[in-house]
Amino acid sequence: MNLLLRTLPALCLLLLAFPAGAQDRGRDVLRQLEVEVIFASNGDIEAAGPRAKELDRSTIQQLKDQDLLRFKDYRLLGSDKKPVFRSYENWAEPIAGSDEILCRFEVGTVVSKSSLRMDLELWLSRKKILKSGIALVDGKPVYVLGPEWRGGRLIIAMELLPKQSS
Amino acid sequence: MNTKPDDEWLALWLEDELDPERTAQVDAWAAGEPEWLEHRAAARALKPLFNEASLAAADVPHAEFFNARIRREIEKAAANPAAPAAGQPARTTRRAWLVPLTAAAGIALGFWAGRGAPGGTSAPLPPPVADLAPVLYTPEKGVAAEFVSSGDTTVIVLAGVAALPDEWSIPETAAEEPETRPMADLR
Repeated sequence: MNLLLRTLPALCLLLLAFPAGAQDRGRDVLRQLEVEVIFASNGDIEAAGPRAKELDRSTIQQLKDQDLLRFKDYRLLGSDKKPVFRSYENWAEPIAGSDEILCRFEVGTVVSKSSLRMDLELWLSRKKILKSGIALVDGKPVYVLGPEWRGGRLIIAMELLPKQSS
Repeated sequence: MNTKPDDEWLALWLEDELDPERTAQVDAWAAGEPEWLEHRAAARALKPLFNEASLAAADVPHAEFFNARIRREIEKAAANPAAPAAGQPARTTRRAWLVPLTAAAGIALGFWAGRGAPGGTSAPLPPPVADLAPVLYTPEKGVAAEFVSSGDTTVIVLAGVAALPDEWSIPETAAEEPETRPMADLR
């Protein structure tokens, strides 16, 4: 008993030095962020180039429902999905192999189980164009009506997805 | 004595601190010097006042007084080691081990509580409503951003952004799987 009592303080200090799990909780993945770059045009949509892809109908409908985002046609130029860490920033590179359009993001506040307040930055041509603090909700994208390109506009869509989303 | 005594003798004579023989000599000289007799009378009148004032300084306890008390206490304790120190209950020594133990346990508990229970499932507190209002900032000169919310959809409209050059196109690598980056795809 005496031995236990004498060693208990040392054990307590040991517990502090090696906390359970000893893992960095800042690297916990809370969600995923999907960033898409969409080419929207009222002119020749083929100007997007041969590598552009068709956009799914539901997204097209969602865009056309918004006056500001209503164009004749749309094409998907690229997309990226990256984990959202609890305490670390991350970057999405929707146009793979190009740093022309980048999105930096990190969690500001955990609002609820399906919502995060994020610090989002949009980088165009290696310049920070937009910095925003905005609450994102699972499945409800935030659209940025961005720069002109080849007679149309680029729309950057940012959407929060569940952690296990494929 | 017909000649004036030197200053040292006179100073001591004024203070009545000259030895008797020399005092007699100076007295003989001062008999013809009423001014010096007045000086001595004045000094004698002031002397009690100075003594009163200097008594208070003399009463300040000497450092040895404290040392003596400390030594006396040590000697007393050494002579009777079994007796507890004055003003200290005997049970304190019996339970002395409780102090570091309690302190260590308290520190451990404080750290544990501050760190939060691992894998805790407590729901996060919702932030104040003001924190949920979107904040937009455009560092580039001439660029403006406007936030428009309609139903479930949020749109940020950028104005004044330089157009992307038409020469820019989707690189061929865009069709390939992006390389895995340690920082970006940890899990």
